[in-house]
Amino acid sequence: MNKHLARPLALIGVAILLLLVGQILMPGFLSLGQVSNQLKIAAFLGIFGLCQTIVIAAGGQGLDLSVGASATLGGILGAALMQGSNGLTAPALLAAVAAGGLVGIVNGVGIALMRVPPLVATLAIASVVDGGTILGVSIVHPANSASPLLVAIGGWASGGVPNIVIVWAVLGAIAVWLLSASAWGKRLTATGANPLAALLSGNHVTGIRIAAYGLSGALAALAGFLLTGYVGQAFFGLGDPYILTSVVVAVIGGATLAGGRAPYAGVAAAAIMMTVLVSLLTALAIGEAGRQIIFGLVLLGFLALDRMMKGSLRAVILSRFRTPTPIAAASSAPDTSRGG
Amino acid sequence: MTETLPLPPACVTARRISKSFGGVAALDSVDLAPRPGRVLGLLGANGSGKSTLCRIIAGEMMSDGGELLVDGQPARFTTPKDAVRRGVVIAHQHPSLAPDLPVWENLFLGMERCGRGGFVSRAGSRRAAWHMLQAVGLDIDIDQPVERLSAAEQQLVEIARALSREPRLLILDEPTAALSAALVDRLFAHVRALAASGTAIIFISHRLQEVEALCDDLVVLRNGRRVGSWELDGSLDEARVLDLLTGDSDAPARLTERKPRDTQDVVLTLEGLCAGQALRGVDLDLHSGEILGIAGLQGQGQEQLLDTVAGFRRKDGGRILHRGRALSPHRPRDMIRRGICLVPNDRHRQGLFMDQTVGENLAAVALAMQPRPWRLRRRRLAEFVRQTIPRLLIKTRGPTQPVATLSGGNQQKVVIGKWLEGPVDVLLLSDPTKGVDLRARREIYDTIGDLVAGGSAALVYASDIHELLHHCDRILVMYEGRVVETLSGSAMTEQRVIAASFGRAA
Repeated sequence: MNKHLARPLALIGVAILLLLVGQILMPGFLSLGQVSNQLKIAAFLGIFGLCQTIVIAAGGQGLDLSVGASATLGGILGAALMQGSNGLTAPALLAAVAAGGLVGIVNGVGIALMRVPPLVATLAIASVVDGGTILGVSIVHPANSASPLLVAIGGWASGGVPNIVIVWAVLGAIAVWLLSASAWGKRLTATGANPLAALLSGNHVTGIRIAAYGLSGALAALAGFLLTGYVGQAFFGLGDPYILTSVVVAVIGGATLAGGRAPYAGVAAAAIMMTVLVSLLTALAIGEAGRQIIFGLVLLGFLALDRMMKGSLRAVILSRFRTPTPIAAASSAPDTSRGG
Repeated sequence: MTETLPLPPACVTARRISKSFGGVAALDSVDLAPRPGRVLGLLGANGSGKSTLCRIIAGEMMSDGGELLVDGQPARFTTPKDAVRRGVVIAHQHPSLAPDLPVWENLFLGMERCGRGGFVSRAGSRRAAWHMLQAVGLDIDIDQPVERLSAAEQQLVEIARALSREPRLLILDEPTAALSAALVDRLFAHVRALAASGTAIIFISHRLQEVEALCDDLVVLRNGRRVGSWELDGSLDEARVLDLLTGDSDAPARLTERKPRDTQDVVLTLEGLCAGQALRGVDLDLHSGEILGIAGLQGQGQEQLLDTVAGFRRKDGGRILHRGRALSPHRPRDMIRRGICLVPNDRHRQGLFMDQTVGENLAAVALAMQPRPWRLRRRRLAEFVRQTIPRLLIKTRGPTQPVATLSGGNQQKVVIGKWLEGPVDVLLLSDPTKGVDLRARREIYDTIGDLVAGGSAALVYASDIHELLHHCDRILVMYEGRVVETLSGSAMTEQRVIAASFGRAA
């Protein structure tokens, strides 16, 4: 248990530290309104991070670069169907999520059955979906504004807590249970850790992978739909800012690109930490260029720290009372090639 | 160095080497002095420290204590490359090859032959690669990726690569585990020639007859200590070696005689089973309560037969009848539902989740097969794991130990154990004791025996003939994708099996 909580707690600790630094530099940074606003932004990033967590866990260099396209589709389709009416919000939500799920399943079929590498498959599908969305909009000219109900869910707060954060908390709790404490989650991580052994142990590896991409697409569309409520209207390119940032938070949160791990608590904490960092940099009036540089350095720094901590931990385990220095390269090299 | 020694001095000497992992001593002050021109056999059960010792000598690991001497001078190898530079080369039991790269590139991995301007000399490398492979008796397309090779071919590529580095000390870590008898003979001829030219060789094997045939000196390790060493002159005192290996003479290495079983019910029938080039029409009947062995030279379709029956490989023709019902599996899951379970050939790649714990590995099948994929039956799984560990005599600190830190035999027991949560009607085992020490081997067959005593059946392929002769009720011999001989009772002899393996009736 300790092991699973160390990273989320550390990331939350960093987020709190950044908030304190912000408060010192700019009094008011730590105000309740400011913090709840940041949680709101983190909620969207966190849902997109969940998409990546699931497909990365499924292994085979899993990655979903179509989350942006699915989100845009979900937002635009949802807005088109609900036509600003509260009554049509629920059916529009279902349609948007189903459309995203379908995009994800197409990804999954391409990846799991036709063996297209995930990077290429999801990039290609993203292009098709984006193009299709533009085409559809140019023919139909649909409504694009969110219903008052959706605006309330996406933008308002109840009792000081933003509604979207409540949605995220519920979704996150379900995700942690599904990925870490359900049999399906164990099958997913087994598939990612060693697809051959998983297949021979009776897992339906192809089905699991397709389901993982389907789930990712559905969640991305849901996020796009909610984002429409937050912004007030759907527009083209709605989900694009989240394509790479979602991968970044998944990696910082502890998902390993080799697959086999689905640590959503860490990813959620990473979403919060990154949101706070970005808002601190923005508040300090550091320009886009500076933010990009710091963003990249943080990612690198976290990965390096991760490696170092794992390395030192291994050294501690290997040498309870003496201090040998295992040669990392030599001792891991045969294992990796064997696994391949 | 003293010149009065009757033998040439060792080029590389390991002196008082110690090493421990997580507080457990893997090596305790071990000396080893392989001499030029001689083959040193290193014997020991799994976990006795053979591999650790060799990896230290080859610079892949550093010792906690003791020293290495090269030509009498203390040396410190911090990487395998240091060792290679001083002439120490190791060929691993599990080949460390890059699966996507062609054979010839693998041969020069890290030691590329460069021509003018620092570019890899392609033609020269390929020509050299061809000669290297011919030397070990391997006639294959050098442009195909290594992953398409069989286990035996990969092993020979690994050995050819080691030989190409012109070692002064060559370490062969169970080179024969995946090889057929003919290839072993070829390899031995090559090793002898190499020794005659002045190379020192360390040879690790679990097969006593191979050590007897090849080695000049013998060192026996047990639990990280050197418990015996002597010169061999063409013959090996098996009783003495087995005593030293196991450490207690109460437990004989031979299997106790199995009772003859009721062999009326047919559990599994194969009729003209075909799959690709490997299976060209296999017929067999497997009876309830029976352990049926599959013998034959390497690569005669034995592995593919088990894979096909397990639903891991698609059949092209023929019928699989389980308890009278014809099956056409699409994936292993279809067969597992009917209790047809495979212990796969490659433990690390196909059998285990190496990053996970013993408990997680044991629960893998139960998790995959439970009807509803939502609720985790934690208590039931924990109970199953708790009972299975002692039932199969798995030596582990507990369910939370990483499976990668177990010895080979105990890892294999985990692969078998994961099937026991559900019903097992046909247990398929593909070379289950590859790289497994004698004691664990006996324990594994005891488990199989207990299982079939309950009315199920086992189909076992093993590369070691003696193992099949000891443990099986009947033996089938495969040759070029077909069953060419069925032996039972007094006809089950080594001679009959070997004759049939070469496609001849005795």
